[in-house]
Amino acid sequence: MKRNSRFKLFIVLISLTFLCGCWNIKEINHRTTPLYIGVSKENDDEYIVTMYVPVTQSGESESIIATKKGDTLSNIFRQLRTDSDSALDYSHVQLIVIQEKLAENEEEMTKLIRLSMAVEQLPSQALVVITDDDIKKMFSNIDKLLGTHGTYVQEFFYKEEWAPEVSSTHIWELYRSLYSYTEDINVPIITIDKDTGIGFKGTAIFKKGKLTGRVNPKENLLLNLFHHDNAKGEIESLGSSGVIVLNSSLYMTPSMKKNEPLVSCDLKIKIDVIERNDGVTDKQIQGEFKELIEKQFYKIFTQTQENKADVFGFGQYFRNQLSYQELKKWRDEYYPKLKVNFQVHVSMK
Amino acid sequence: MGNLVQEIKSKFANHDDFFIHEERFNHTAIFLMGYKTLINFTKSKLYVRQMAELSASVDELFINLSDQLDVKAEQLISAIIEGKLVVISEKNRNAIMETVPQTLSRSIEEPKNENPLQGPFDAFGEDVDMNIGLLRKRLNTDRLYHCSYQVGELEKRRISILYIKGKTPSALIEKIIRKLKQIETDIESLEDLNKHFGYRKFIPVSHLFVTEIPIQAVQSLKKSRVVLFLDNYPSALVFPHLFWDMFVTENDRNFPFLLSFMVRSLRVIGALATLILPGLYVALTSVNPDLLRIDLALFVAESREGIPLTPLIETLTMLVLVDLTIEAIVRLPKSIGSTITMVGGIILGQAMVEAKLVSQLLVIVIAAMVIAASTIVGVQNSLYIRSLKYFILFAASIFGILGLFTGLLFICILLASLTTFDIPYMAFRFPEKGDSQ
Repeated sequence: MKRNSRFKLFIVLISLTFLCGCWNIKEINHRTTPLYIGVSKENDDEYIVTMYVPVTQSGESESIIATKKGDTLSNIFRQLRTDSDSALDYSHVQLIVIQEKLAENEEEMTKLIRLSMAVEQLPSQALVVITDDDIKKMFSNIDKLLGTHGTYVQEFFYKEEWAPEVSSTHIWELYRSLYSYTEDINVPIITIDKDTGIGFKGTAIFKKGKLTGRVNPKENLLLNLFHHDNAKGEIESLGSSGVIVLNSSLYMTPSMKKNEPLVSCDLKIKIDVIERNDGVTDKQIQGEFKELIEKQFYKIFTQTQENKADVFGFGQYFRNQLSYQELKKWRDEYYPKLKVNFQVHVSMK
Repeated sequence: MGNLVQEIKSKFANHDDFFIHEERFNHTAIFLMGYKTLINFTKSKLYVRQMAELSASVDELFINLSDQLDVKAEQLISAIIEGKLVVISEKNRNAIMETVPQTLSRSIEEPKNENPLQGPFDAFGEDVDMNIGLLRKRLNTDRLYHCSYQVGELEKRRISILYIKGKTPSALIEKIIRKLKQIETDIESLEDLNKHFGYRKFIPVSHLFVTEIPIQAVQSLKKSRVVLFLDNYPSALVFPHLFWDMFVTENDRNFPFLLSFMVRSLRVIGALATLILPGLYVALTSVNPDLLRIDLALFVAESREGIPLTPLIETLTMLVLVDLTIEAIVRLPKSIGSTITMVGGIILGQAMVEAKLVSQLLVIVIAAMVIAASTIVGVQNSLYIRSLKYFILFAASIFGILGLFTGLLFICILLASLTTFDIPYMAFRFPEKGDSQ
């Protein structure tokens, strides 16, 4: 009896051999993997989803740009699956491009963010950007210039010290900001660039899915500093000279006095002069540079304070000083009262 | 001719290589008898004659020739079978003589299955006494103990046990000796002996680690392990077999520490690569392609374009073909072996890719795996690691990366559960200290 059951187990295991591979598994060459997805809206009711899919055919890389229209997003995604030539696999999506008109609508944007998190296959680390241009044209421009270059988006958004002003936002960060009491988020804005594919045009500030303001790339660098990035490599031209930032570090000390939050920020920057007019001294350059940065900061800060969008994430530093109930009121009560003592300390090489 | 001679003669009537030679000494006939195939007859005869010249009487001759005098007929017969010379006189005096044997074993040669780099090049042979001599030469201590046992039913085989007194736990030696004494069947192969140390039917790990190299055996002895010799088997059997034998050879110690560390790490990587690579290929191409970076995914997808087989069948085909090639090379004479390798390499590598039967990437994976598998120490170890990769391959083809790591985990559990006389297989060294003496 025991021998018999062992034999049966053996038969079952043998049949497993034939099962695996032709089960509910799709091989890598039988999947359609879109790289970029564009979402836009036309005539108020109709959504348009554009997909950029690289196709490999005997050594040559080609691509398909597919567009579908429909009244709801989930309908379109279903339709795309139905019409796709092989299994549609969203797991390689790197970039979600949202039309600016759609992004300005708070309700639509919130719905879109929730949907993209809900689609299980869609990787939550895909990047989100906003554009004013035609998405289909953008994709075909990228395709024309670069072909199926799988890592293009990665390379564009993670240039680090070669372009410290570029920032990137993942879907999960955007989703988190919908529920965060103390931090808002900025989403990159891109345009078509005829020579390099896409161009970086600063960021849009989102407060819980609502677009409240924009910052240009120079100002975006300041925001990046507050998110633990380094300004190394940034070239700044002052009226009389040009400097390059060698290193930077930011120190923050939050304090709370009589329900009035105060943050003192010390930004230490080390610069090197790369060009200067005759007769300009180091001290003048230092002073000019300090003034420029401080002016930039207070400009964005007052703007965000008016909009009650804490894009710098100052609220994060008060999480241990406020109660849970008070934190809920951070944006409306505390943030407008926040005083920031922003000091720039410039040193020369 | 005495009764005894007649009796022995009739006993060996059907043995053509049995001889009886008659000599006369002091007017007495003495008979020399034995196997021509086991005894060097000419030299033995010469020796007896020289002894006869030195002796005054027949009795004195017998005393000069041997210590074993006037024994029973059965003992004489078994002595003849063992290859000794029996001398019987007319007056039924007899003696068993140790004589010059025929040289039936090869001399000390270079190791055939192992390749010590910049190490001593002598290897064990078929003759047990020679093997023990090789050990004694390297280990000059009176604490090297040696005991021999004859086991078997049809034919008696000699098993020698060597250990260092005071290092090897005496409880372990007692257990081994008790097991050996219980053996009643014939020991024909290593597996026959292996069975007596604990039955492992479905587990590919042996209780004995086979080595041809004397230093390896000496170091094992020093690390308080036991070395067994089976007569007519050209290797030392180190007991118990531990996991690290797969990665560590004694010869590594001839290199500086960093180099030996590197060599050993390479072997560990080799073992892991052998286990993981085929499974990883199947998991990444069929179950979890989302784990690949997009450019790598596109490259893999492109290399698999137009291939009719599923990744599992494709990988299995290649694995079996490669294992067949290795087996074929072992079977074939050395002169043909290299040809087969070349033909196999060309067919597997080039033709199959060109025929779009397997993907190029798979050929790279398989080649890397075969090379990796060859780094493991010991033929048996290499074989068992190669056999375990199939298990991981199937697990990976069903559950992807998850299956791959679960498979690895199961193999770890299996290996960790193995024990030899309560010594875990995964032990780095002996946990017990021997009796200090």
